[in-house]
Amino acid sequence: MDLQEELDTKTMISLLTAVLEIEKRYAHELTGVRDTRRKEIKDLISKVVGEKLEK
Amino acid sequence: MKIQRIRLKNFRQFYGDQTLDIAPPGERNVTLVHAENGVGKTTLLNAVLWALYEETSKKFEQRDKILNFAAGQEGENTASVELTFEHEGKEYLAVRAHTTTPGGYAKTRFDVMAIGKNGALSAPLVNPKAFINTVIPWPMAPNFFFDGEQAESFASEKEGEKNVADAIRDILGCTLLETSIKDLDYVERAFNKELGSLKGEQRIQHLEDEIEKLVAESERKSLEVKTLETNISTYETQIGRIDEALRAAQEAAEFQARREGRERELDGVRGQIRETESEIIRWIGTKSISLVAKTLTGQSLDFIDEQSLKGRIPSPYNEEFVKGLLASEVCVCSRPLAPGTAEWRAVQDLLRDAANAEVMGRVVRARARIEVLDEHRAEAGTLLIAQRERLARLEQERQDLERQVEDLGKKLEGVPIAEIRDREHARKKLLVDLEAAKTRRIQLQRDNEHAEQAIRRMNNEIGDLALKNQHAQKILKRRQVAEKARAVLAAVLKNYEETAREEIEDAVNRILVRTARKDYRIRIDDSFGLHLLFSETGNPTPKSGGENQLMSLAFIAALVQFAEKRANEPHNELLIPATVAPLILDSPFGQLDDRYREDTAAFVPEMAPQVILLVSSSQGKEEVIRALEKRIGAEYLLIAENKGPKGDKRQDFAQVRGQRHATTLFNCPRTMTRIEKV
Repeated sequence: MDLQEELDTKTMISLLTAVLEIEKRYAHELTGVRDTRRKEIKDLISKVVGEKLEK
Repeated sequence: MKIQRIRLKNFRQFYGDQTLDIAPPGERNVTLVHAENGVGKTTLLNAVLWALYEETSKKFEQRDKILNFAAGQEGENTASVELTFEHEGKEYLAVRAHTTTPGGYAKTRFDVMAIGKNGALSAPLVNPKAFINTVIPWPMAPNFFFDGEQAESFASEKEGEKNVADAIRDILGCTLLETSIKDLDYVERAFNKELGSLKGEQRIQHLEDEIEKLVAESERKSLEVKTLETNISTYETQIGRIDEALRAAQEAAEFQARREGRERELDGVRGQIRETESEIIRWIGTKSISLVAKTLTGQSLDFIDEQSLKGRIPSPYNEEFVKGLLASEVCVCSRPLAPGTAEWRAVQDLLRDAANAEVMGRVVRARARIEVLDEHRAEAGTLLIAQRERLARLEQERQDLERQVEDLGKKLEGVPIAEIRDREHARKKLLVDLEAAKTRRIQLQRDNEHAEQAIRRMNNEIGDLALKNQHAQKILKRRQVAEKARAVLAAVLKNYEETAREEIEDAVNRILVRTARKDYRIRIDDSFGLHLLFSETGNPTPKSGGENQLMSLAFIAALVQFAEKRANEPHNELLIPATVAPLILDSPFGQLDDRYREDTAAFVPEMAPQVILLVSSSQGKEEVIRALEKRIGAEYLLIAENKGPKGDKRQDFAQVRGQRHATTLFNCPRTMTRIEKV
């Protein structure tokens, strides 16, 4: 699979923006949020890939 | 952020309600606070850190004792620090209060309120902690509220690299990017685990386990490389210090000078050896083929010449000419060439060998290439012999020089002065350790490169295996997206760090040109090690405590300038927004001698829009104050008031603006520190 072709630049940028949004949301919490944050990112990727590449 | 006022209520040694009004940005942007050691300079710095972040600096002792002792004795149970500040055109009041209940339970409350035009306070902001982190993000704060007494170790060999790297990353606001990269790496492996847990995918599971092991091993080795790099830098500096001491010792100076001369020559010869070896490798790539292909090129050229002689090359007839005959349907002998006849076909067959521009071009190119190879062959042997002879000569020179260096080392060991002998022994051991550390570092770096390749191979194999299973393919796509996202962010981060490193290095050097007595410049290497070099030679020079402090201050100044520049640029979504904050410098001149102090004092006001400078009388001498004079907008004395009598204790005085002030008082109502405006 050529990921570059399948997942266009625009989608990658919006994915990265969404990842950073999640990071920002948790940035000021000092403890106990790592796993929640990572799960959110994993779910986000699954959702984006599901919408864009698995139709 | 502009701090307007710091108000302390029963905070540590500051009894009661005391205030410092801070000089605003402008020509007189320095707030100068004089205090003897132990009276409260560091407490003032920490009051700001505590108020904004509930954090204190490393050397702040008994950090849980916030309430002033006398106030506690008198029944007070709350200590607080208030900061009035302006941020993006609005005024705010930040209040952190620490209350102790009768049961000894302590709680801290933090509020930030906006101040209206009429001075009225708004309701407390819902998330004051998050707000303060947008004003000055916590990772950036220690670079603005800087403990000068730690400046010496800030840029030192042992801790420097990490401090410098962290400071650059923090001021650059990389935290978000770094966490995202780590998280995406974790997510990538989580998808791999998911792949491995699919029914019947034991091989993927096995590969995933192997990857996990390799990742853990690589992380361990990377940490070891970091330690080794610190050690290498320490060894090099220690060797530099020993060399300096040997140069300074009369009995060793001559041998040491000769050794340094030989070592410089040796460096040069080693460089030439590397260059010659590279030349030989290049020779293999460009010239050796002409020797190997000698028979082939000879035969090819003979063939072309022979065929040319016979008129076969290029072909005796031209493609255009044959096509013309076929088109006109008339032969050269004037007989008709009717399409489809035996004659027509015979003429058409000639097209197979007819020469066209391309074929002719090929013959010309082949001949030219063969001639070049012939020329190369003629010079190839001579060149190689010359390079080999040069290499042999250089190797001989290297051996001679190494012997001379060793002999001079023995002479130094033989000097009948124990101190010199000991230094030479220590130097010898350091050289062995240095070599061992460098070898180990190369080995570990190679191991990690191999591990990276193995991980890439295994990930590819996982990808191939997953293609056979539709569900696995879905997970694989997700993993690949996580991988791609991580790679994009890592590349962005590297690019930002590189640019920041270069800009900060330039800024530090501009400051050093103005302040350093010797002709120094600094270099921040790839792993963020801060090296002091002689400008002329580019050679590293060992740093004294004062030089470390000067370098640290120059570095902090460069960081603040960088932050200011970033703050004026359009906001970058990938980084934490930059900030411009007041710079609070606690005892920044400690290790500097008088001349350095004057020069440093002259550039301190330019370090930030507002500078709060905390100095003791030994640091704030007349010359320093003179250098700062035109920039001082507010000046305070911290007076130590003691309840007890003077007895044998020393009475301190501070000379401020021609007046002598007693800074230690006795027989006072209570023991405390009083802030007095000058």
